[in-house]
Amino acid sequence: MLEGKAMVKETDMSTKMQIHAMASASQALDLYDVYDCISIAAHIKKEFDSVYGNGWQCVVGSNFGCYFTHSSGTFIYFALATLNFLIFKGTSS
Amino acid sequence: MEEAEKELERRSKFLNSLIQKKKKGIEQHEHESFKVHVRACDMPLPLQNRALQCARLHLESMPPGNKLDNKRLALALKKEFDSSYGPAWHCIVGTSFGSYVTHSVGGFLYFSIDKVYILLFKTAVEPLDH
Repeated sequence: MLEGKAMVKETDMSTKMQIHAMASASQALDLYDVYDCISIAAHIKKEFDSVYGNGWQCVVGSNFGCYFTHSSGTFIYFALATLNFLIFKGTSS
Repeated sequence: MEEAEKELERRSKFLNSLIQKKKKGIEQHEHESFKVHVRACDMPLPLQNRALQCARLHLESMPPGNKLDNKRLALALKKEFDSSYGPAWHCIVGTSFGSYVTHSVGGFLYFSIDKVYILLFKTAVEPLDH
């Protein structure tokens, strides 16, 4: 992996899940160009939906702010390479 | 004297019309500087209009030249929609981001206003475990 280490900025998530999130992001960056934020977000969200159940949301970018409601224990915001990543679960569907 | 009064009245009307034209021009300019594009949507029209109006009002209330506070705008929109249309709404604001989300039927709007992109969507709320 070419990317440096991810830096967690805020989280409400188990350590194991955090590691999974950052690994998934790193994997996505191997697969897609850094400008293809939507594909990167899709990769991560689909991974989390399949492993932890449906209803995950993912935002990837270099300039965004947001407000959201998340389920307990399902939120992480971290930086990796030039991008910021937000992953949270809004609901179970 | 009567001629002078008529001339003054004519000039006064002319100035008023100039002022009105100027005001319209300014309004038009302001409107143009906040052009709105709905880029993707699954939302009833009244809710769309509500979101667009809320975003526009928020941007217009900022002093010119001030940098947009993404989080503040996101908060304003989320709060308005949570209180008006029930929880839980999520809002993302920025100039450079991509996302992949699952949303409730009829609860998704992605639009741009000026140079800012705004994503507003709703998810169902699961009952709290007791």
